Amino acid sequence: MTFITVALLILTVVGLVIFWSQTQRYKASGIEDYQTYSRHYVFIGNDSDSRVSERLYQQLREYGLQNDCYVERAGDNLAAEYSKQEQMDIAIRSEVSGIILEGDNSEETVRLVNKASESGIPVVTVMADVPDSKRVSFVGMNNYSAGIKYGKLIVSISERVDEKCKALVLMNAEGNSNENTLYVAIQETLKPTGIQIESAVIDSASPLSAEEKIADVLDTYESLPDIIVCLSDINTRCAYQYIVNKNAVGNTTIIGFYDSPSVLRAIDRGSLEATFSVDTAKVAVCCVDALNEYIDKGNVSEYFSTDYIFMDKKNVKQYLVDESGEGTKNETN
Amino acid sequence: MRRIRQLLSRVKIRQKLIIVFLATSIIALGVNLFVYINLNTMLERIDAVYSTNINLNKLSDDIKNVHAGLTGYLETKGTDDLELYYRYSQEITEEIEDLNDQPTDNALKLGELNVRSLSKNYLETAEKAIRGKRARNVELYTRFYNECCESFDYLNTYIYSLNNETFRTNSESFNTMIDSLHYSQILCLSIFIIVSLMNVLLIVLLTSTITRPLTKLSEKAKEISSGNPENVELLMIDSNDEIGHVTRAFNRMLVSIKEYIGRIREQMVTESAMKEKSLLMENHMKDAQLKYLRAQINPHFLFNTLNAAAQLAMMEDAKRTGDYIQNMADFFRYNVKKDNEKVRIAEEIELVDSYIYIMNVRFSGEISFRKEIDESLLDVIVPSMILQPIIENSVKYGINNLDERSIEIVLSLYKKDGVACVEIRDNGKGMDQKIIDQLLSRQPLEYSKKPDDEKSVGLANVISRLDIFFYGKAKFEIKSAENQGTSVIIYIPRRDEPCIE
Repeated sequence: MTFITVALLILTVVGLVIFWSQTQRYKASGIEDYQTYSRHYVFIGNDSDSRVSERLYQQLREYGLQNDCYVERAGDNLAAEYSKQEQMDIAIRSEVSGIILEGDNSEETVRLVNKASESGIPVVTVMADVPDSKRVSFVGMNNYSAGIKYGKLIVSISERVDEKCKALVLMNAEGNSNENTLYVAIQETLKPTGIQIESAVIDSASPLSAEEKIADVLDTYESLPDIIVCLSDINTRCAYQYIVNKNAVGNTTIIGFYDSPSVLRAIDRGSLEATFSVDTAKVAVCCVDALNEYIDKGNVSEYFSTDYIFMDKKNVKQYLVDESGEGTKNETN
Repeated sequence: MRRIRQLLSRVKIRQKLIIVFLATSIIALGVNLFVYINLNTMLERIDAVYSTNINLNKLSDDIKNVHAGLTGYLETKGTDDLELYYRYSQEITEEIEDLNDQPTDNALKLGELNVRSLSKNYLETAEKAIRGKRARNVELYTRFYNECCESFDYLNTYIYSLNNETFRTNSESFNTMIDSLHYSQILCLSIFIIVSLMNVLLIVLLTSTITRPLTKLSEKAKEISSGNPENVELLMIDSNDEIGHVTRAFNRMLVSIKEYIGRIREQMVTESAMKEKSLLMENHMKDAQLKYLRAQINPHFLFNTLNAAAQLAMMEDAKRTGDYIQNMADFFRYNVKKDNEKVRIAEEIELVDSYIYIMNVRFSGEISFRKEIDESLLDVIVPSMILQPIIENSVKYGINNLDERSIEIVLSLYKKDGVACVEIRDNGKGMDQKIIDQLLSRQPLEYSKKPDDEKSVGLANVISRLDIFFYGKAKFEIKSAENQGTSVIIYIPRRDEPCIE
């Protein structure tokens, strides 16, 4: 009987401990479970659907957390959708610690960058610069060298296809100096070859419009261009889908942008010739470091350059880590 | 556990009962209190789940009010609007103090930070607009008002979004917590059942330390009452409480009962022996008296008659006849006077002298009687009528042998090893050894059933009376051989030794 009593006593204590842990179980979860950081940065991208932007944000966030900064993506979890300028405005009014902005050439953006600077909020532009603004630093790609690479690739493809090869470069509506630089570099590379090159601006500012615009542009051609060069990931995906739909895989060669799994698989299959991608991890490190350096020291280098990653059939397998994976290896071309 | 038992054994029953009730009550109360506090905390947390939504709704309403106040004031410069503005701007200032102000990786908390910053920015801009209005700077307050409108729009979106997100999270938390609450309730019920069981067992355990010794005590009492207390063993005492005291007292009582029973038994044996002895003595005396009465016919009448005859013989100068009759008279007088008394041995010897004289007259002087007396022993006290029956026995056995020689009887009184001895020797035909053995072993004699002439006061009677008188300390010795005579020796104990009064 003594044994049973002691066993029951132990059972009671164990039961109370379980009961206590059960009642305390949800105290540390949900809204109570968070960590604070000393700085609050906001990343404002051009296109919320852009996978490059998405991946860049993830890298920014990840690197920021390691450096006691939290990088918020503007417009996330909001019931309404705001334009880039409005997001800038909100970030300024929210008095964030710093802004990482995918730049453009609009005057409004310049004004807002200047306003942020006047409000004591440093702005770092990324991927595309905001010329003539008071941004503290620009983390960009080496577009000229990328353009030459694009050009050489077109030449090599044209040698394989036809002497009178036609190439089309699909540029973004927000076309900025970076894309222009890239296009110029392509033109200069192709000039001695006599390859005919054209450009078309795809205005994909409004959501879901890119595919329609690309279809409109390509439908104007009696025969599709031999080579289509895309300078954004959405344009790449739309152009590729268009070619598949028209059953023109093999007739037209696409040089894409970004390294989504579908693009990589297409390269692996030979449907896509090659693609250029951004080393987002390196870019993220540059952005966060630039803001931290500026806040800590009051000045920072105005320009950080990173190279594109070139991927074709020869090296695509090493980037096909897994089909669901988004990341590329940090390997520059 | 042993220590607890030892400790409990020293505790009084009242304290034990208090411990039992206190222990079970404290356990039950403690468990209840613990469960109550935790359940209450849990319920409070559940209640607080939607408090963030309520706060955000209030903040949203207050911002609408402050914006209405601002708009009204800028439009009309009305004091009511200004008052409305200030009242709600104050409330907003207080409310946003509760919101998170640190950058964080939690989306909701980050939303709070943004709402806080935007609200603060709105209030600052609104303040500038108010100041512009007071300064009547239309351009200025219009610009700030437009900024306020934009901020108002942003704020509403942020609060709405945060509210939605919070509600979604809170709903999940609420559901989880409600599930957890149900689980906790079941757990709680199980704990109560276990605690109740444990308390019952605890009560049984602790009270058994009281009842177990009582049960043992009761069993022992039953054993005693069943009528065999001597075989009942003492109880083990393992507690120092009241029951321990009772058990101790019970054991003492049991020991006393056993001693008392022993004493009573001894007393009964003694009394029985005494009674038996008394009855035996009385029996012998009555038997002797009866035999004497029968033998003497009427001693008093005979004694008186003999006295008269003696006087007559003296008057007629018949001296021998007179002496004879006088001896007979003395003999019978002794019988009458000394019956059932203790006497000096000298008186016994005198009686023997009278008896021998009478017998010599009867048997014409054929009995030769000789005395060897240590006169220092003449005062030894003996029961009456112990020598004459022995002499009579010698005479009786000697008479049967008269044809050959005369009867010779010697009476000796002497001291041997400090003890007075009376020895009567004769030269008769001797006694049968079987009869001697029966006499000395105090067995009933067969000759008691023989004819009347042998119904005199026998040796057996003498031996029995000596045993009774001297508590068996008087030794009796009979030595006899066929035609070699008989020697009877009585060893009389010292006078200072106990004897029957």
